[in-house]
Amino acid sequence: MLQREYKTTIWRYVRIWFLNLRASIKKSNTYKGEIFVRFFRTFFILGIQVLLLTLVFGNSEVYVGWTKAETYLVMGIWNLLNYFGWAFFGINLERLESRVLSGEFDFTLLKPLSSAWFSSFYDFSVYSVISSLSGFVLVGYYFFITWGTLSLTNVLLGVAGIIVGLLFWYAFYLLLSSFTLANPRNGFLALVKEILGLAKYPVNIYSSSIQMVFFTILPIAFVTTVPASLIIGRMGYAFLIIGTGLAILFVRLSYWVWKQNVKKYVSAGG
Amino acid sequence: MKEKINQKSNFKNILKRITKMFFAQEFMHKEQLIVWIIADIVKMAGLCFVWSASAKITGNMDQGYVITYYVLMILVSKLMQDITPANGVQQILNGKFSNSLLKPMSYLTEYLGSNLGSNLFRLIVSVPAFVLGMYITSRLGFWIVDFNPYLIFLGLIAVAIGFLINFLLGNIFALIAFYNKNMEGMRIFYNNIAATFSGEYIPFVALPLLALFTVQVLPFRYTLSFPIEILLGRMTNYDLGVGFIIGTIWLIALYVLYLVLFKISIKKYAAEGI
Repeated sequence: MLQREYKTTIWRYVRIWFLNLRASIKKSNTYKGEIFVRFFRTFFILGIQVLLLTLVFGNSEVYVGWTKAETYLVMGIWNLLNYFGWAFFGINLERLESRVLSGEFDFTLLKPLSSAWFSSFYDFSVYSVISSLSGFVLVGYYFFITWGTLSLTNVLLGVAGIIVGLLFWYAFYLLLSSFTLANPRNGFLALVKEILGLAKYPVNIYSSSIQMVFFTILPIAFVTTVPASLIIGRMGYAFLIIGTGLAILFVRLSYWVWKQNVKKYVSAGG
Repeated sequence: MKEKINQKSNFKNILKRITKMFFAQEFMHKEQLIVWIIADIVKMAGLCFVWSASAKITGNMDQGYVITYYVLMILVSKLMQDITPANGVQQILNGKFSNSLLKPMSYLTEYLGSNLGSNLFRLIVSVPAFVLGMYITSRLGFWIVDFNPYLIFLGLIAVAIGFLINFLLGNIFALIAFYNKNMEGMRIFYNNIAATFSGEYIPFVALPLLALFTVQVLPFRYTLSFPIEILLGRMTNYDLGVGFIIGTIWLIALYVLYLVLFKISIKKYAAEGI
């Protein structure tokens, strides 16, 4: 009954998120050394990724139909989605298991908010934003190299594609982590991480049948390859529209699966 | 003195019991472990595609070598895992490490047993995936290993050396927790370094000469790539000899380094638990 006193409008969620963000930033000030470690790690990752792509290309100019700068773009988008995803919701969904096992999740259910939303966005990892710098550097490199030939329309389409990619990222995370509520210690989050890891490279490295799967049943092609192709100008509006439709469908599906799993939650702890 | 003699004679029994206990514990969460192993296979399959496409385009390496390398990794990596950077660090941070200090045995015995138990279970669970990978690779004509008993024997010795190196590296890393109370970023960074220089992301056959020399000198190669390289059967006797010598030197050096650092670091332990 008490819940009716709260207006669950979108602005209420925005306000709560900003409050959580403020608290997270304050918390991140506790360990300043961590910021230094994250910076150092970011440049290490960047170096390794550049080395990996240099070795993968060898003396060849093109790898599975992609130039080196284009492959940097794909990897850069992946880094952005990975670290921003981790900063916004990944860190929270990773902690879901311990919250379920300790019985803390009961309190989430008592809050006058969507339990899926609160479980996804109650904390913000400032440190992961530092790691996303590697993504900005790689994407920036592509822009720098192709500055003269870049089209503003393609860039805008690409940015929209990246947002769609983030929606997919969230949908996959939420979908698989929701099973923790019904059956903790299932390891699904590790699986989703590795599946999304396959999107670090253009999908053209996989056989045509696998590519078909990545565009339909398991649409990880929309996470990096499609946004990159939109920026390059290799794909048009159609892919963005299909991607947006699929992403909304996946987010809706993951929220529905979440609700089903909440029904199975028995609050027994670990 | 008497206690010390007992400790030595009991070492085998304690290790056996802890190994059994952790094996049973892993069995309790077998579904999670199976999914983890599937996740691992997904990662290795992805890397297989990346490097085989590269081998096809550049011609710098043999496609069969790279694919077999990653199929073998499914099995070898399970024998090399060390949970100390996660669990050991956590125990120091939350103060539970005090319990280990009170026990009538070195805490290393406990950690060693826990690693052996969980690695053994992970190995058993990984065998079907390995056989399937081997079958598919053979059908496609990419499998290059002929299971030479001599190389398998050498590979097993390399696995033992590699596991102990990894175990010591993990325990040396864990000692940082006595000084630093937020280890999350450091742990992820350490895992990144270990995975990169062990040959997980980049097979060493793809490296240029200078980089190859660097990774051969570092200890991480011996924690994953070296046993796989032996099993692949493309190493010369000279490379094998050099590899074993460097691996053994690292093993001894890391053990001595661990003893020294532990002696210094334990004095910093306040058992506050955060």
